[in-house]
Amino acid sequence: MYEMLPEELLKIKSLKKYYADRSPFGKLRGYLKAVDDVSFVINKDQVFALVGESGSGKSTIANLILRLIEPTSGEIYFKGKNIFTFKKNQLMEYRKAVQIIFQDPFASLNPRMRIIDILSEPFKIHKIVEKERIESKISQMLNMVGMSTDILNKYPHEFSGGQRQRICIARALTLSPELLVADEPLSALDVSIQAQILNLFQKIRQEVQISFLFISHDLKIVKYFSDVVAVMCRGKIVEMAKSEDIFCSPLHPYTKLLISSAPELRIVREKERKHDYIERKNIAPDFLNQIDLSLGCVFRTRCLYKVDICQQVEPPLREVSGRILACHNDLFT
Amino acid sequence: MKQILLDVQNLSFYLKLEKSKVYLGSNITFNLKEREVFGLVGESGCGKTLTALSVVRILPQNIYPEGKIIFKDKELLSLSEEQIRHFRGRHISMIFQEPMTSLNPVMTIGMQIAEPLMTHLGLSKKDALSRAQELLEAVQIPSSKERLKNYPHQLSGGMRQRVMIAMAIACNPSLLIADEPTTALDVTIQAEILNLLQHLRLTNNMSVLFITHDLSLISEQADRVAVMYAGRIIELAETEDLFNNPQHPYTKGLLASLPSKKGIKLTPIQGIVPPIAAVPKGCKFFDRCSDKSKNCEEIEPDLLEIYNNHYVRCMRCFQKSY
Repeated sequence: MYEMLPEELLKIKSLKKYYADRSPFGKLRGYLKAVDDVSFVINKDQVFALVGESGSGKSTIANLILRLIEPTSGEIYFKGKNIFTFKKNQLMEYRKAVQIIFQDPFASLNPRMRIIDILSEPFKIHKIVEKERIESKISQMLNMVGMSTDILNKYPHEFSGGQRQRICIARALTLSPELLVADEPLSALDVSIQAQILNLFQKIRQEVQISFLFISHDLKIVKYFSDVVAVMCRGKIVEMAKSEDIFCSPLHPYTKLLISSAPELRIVREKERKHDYIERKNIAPDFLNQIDLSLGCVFRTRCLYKVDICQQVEPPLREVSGRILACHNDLFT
Repeated sequence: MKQILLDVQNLSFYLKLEKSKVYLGSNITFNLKEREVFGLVGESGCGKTLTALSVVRILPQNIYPEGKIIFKDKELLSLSEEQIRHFRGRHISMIFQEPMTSLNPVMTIGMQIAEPLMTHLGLSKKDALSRAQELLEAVQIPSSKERLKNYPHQLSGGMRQRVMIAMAIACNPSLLIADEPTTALDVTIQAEILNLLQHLRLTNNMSVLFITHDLSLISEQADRVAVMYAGRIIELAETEDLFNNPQHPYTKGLLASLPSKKGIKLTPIQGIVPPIAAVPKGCKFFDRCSDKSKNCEEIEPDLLEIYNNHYVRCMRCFQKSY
């Protein structure tokens, strides 16, 4: 048996996005490091998941990849080319290859456009299909996401959340992208609808070659759907590994905390609840202030396993048994 | 045996239009025992929140309740506005999903916590404030004395929810209604808030009516669970029993929708929740059910006991068990 070498699709190299924090009079007080020195690679046909709490920089990375915002420093290579040097034509090509699905399907469809206009707009902008063939292309797309063509003359408000998300997916797929950025695509949906959309994603993966950057805070879904997981904490990746490794044996204390906090389908008896309470009590409850933590580990204020060095030196990313980890404590290696 | 604290009997609520009534929920019957956590689960729009709002009688305008809600021998729905005020915040209190919109932005959190103490228990402002500080400590807010003077915008989401909880437990209520208390929070903060709630429940002898859409969460938190669909309770059982032996096709479908192991295809429920105008005449789940019979279309089944304390609203379940 031989293994196919994975082909790199998107490569991110020490990407940074800082926002200046200024006083009301314009004096610089410091920087909010939304994304701080992040590097990773998404291979062809891979589902790469970003997880972390709100404010950890997941969506900022999505916006940087789409070039909706410019980075403070760092590079993103798409098939070997730096996307931040793209000129207008190249950017058009790039945007054809990289598409996005947003969290809120109610806010991401223009309420004044009919579905047919929404779905044919990508074709009109990129002019890849002759006018006569647009309609058959659209019906092909709708078929793929499990909707019929009689919806074409309707407006977005006539659909439920799940149906709208299907339309958003159809729109993202029209240009046969190679990378689909899905920023919390399921969070606004009910459980039964979530399962429908997850099945749809699986079906798409079987039918066309496509990579996903899958952003989610729901660990159950990430565990189910992704191949590689990067855990983010305050703008940094603290652990990155194959999905099985992360969920079966998390190494970083933050990953452990995230996974143990996520509710699971299980029965907890009264005694255990009380026990749980005592165990979790010593976690420092809050970190509201994101600004200025230049020294030391980003997670140190809440870490149960911190050692002295965590206060002063930021842990470098290192490779530990086939995964990437940023933690000083040798307990985990 | 534990005593029954809250008894909801045949509760319905309807939207009053000019010439007609549109029922948003009907025949909701359940009870809450002392010191129990009772979970209400269901997808958005199934009537969980309206049920809770009926108990404290703060339903939106034009929506009216029917039926009986008995709380410690008092029938809440027949009380006057003046009388019900005596219960709200004193014996029954509620925490909401979005802590930012449910706190007053122009009032210090100290005063907001002190307010129910002054109105219900007649404490002086000074005593109420010092009690408020104790409450902040009870919900584990550090440097509680300084925090009393803070305004809600100075706190993070998790902290605000803690303040909400402090307000809710201020007068030692016997029933706490928690309506999606952690949905707006991160998982790590969620775990902390839930732990805190369980701890306070045990130390203060409270019952909790816990409302959520998250099945995993309810499986960890509740003693008994009722599953709602289209304004009805369709299944009610003890938590362990419900998740081990779900009976109703909807409950089964919900559980099958949860992603479990990688590679196993999910079997979601077909279709979508019908809009109010298109709800089926018989069983409300008829159009999406994978196990329906002809009768289901015409007759709506009752919520009946299938075996000890496991209630189901489904004809097929009973046909099979005989």
